[in-house]
Amino acid sequence: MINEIRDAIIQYLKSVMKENDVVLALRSSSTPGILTPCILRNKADLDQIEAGFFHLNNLAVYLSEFFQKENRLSTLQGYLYVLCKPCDTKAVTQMISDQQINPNKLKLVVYACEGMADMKKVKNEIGLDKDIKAIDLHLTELSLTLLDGSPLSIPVSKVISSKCLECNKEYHLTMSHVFVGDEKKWKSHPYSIATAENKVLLQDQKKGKDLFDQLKAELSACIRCNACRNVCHACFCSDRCIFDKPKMTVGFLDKEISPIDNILFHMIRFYHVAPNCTACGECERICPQGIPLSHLYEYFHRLMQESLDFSAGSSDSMRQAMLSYRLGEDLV
Amino acid sequence: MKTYQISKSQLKQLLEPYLTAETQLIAPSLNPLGLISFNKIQNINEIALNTSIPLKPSKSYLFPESSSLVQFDEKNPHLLESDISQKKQMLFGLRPCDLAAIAYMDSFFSSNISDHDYVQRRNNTLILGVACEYPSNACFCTSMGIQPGTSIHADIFLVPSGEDFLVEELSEKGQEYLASISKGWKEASNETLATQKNEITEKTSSKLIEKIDLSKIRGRLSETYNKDFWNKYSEACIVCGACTFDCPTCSCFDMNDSMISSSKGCRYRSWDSCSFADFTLHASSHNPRSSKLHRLRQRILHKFQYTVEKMDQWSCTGCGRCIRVCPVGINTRSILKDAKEALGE
Repeated sequence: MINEIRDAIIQYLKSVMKENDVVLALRSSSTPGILTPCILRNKADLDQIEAGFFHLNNLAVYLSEFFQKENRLSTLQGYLYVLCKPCDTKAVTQMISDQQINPNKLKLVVYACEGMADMKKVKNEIGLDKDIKAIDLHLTELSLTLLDGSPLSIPVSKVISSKCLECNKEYHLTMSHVFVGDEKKWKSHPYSIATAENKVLLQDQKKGKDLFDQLKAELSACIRCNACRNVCHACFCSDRCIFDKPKMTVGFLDKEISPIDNILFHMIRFYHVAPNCTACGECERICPQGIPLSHLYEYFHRLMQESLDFSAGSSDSMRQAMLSYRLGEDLV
Repeated sequence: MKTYQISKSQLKQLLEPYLTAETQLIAPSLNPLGLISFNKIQNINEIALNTSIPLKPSKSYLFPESSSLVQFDEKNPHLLESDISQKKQMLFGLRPCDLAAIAYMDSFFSSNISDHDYVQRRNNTLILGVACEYPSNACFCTSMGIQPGTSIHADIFLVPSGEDFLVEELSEKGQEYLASISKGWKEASNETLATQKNEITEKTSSKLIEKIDLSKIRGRLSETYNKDFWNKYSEACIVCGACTFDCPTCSCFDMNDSMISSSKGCRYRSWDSCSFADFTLHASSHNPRSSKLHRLRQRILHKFQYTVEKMDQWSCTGCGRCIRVCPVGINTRSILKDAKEALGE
């Protein structure tokens, strides 16, 4: 199934790619379970493309940098094709509405995603004393070879990302795009590999927890490396970020690590990106300390929906949730 | 120097003296986020040795993420030295790669100019290594000339042997410590120790995904400076800096002043990363490493070229943390292999 989609993507790109066109996609890497983003400029390289269960990266984060560079060098003569899971398109839509990228030169290749892996769950399944040598997906089974050569298979339902279990399969795109796979069929089915049992568990976990206390405990592990900021598609201040120049903001927020500064850092960051955050979860995946940042970002993402009727990336209407006011709105 | 053979229950005797209020024992254990990391241990049973190395190295206990260096006060014209925790500590459960990393950090922080802060913490630290039986898929220590079963860079080195541990004294500090607690311990022969070390080295090495022969490119990596393969990796890099923060030998830091109250303040240092754009930003706004290609190449060449030129040693120990943590699959081993290929070796 996954291979079919991958082949269809390659076939499609081969049929449309012209000279001067550029493809932003993923290829395999030497690390099991991780794909590497790549920029392909030749038709012959398209065969390297990988997609599917191990497509964890949200490629939108590369776009603003890519366009800045290409605009400066005026090297992009053709189109830029970007490989996207349906959920990644929210980030692209939001970046367009924030006028960070120019949609005229952009074409999205969206495909029928069947969910993605959570490598932390895979690690938990195999045990802390073992590690993966090779990993492959066969229908609904993940077949692994461990370092000592022994084989292991894990049902996909156990290692699918929590985010995918809650996916409502909605995405909004007015810009130029193509859907690879049968969109109707994809929309009408819940993830075939996600089980109802998993869904219930997930909702229970989130109920009745005091978020602030939980955050305080979780964020105490933060080492303020800024990785979550650097991977965020909503953080597009690039070299003008307030956290980068502590000398200019003495007394505002130091680089020094303390429990209160850690919370302050994440709170400032969150309020700054709240209108642009699409809860893609890249910050959690990237955190070298393993802090479950999605709790925070999903929570605020939901709050934005409930109180301001705003969901980042759901339309390119240019409405700025935190900068505009609508009559009757009681929460500012 | 003696070698002892102790049972698992005797391991308590080895570690317990550091479980007091005035001292701290640091060892790998499961943290509240469900990951193995180097934590302060309250109870010996928390220690988790049967796992691959923790993602975050133990360097923060010798070189903290942020620490105050001097304090100043408007009313008092003299700088006050910050109190460095005088707590004696034991770092337990470090594998040969991490021990080699500490040896590198020692030479970095105390060879030409002695770093007061680091040296003071280091002098208060007793280091206990353990032979490595649980590699991860990112490990490549054997490529960097490190043997997973043995090390010389610890005070005391433990080699698992069935249900027991062989305990090797490596330094005077270690010898002194063991003399105070080893009453009634069984001594073991040097042959037993050597055989067991070899066995573990062999077994663990066989589990590693690959061994890259770097002998022919040692000191030659700068010849790859303008090669194309750097592009392939740098275009994928998102400059998150996680590789440098999880690296046991990355020692770059930044210094800033922070006000504690309106008249009191301190100068502190915090970890920095050569991956970041503002790392080399000049006051004139010129940046000699303006693109991520420059910065990724700098990180790799620093580990594999510049320290070879300056200190005659790699500053990579093959622990593989940069590979494990990289969210975009940039693999240091692949870079080395590409460099080898580009040099025609």
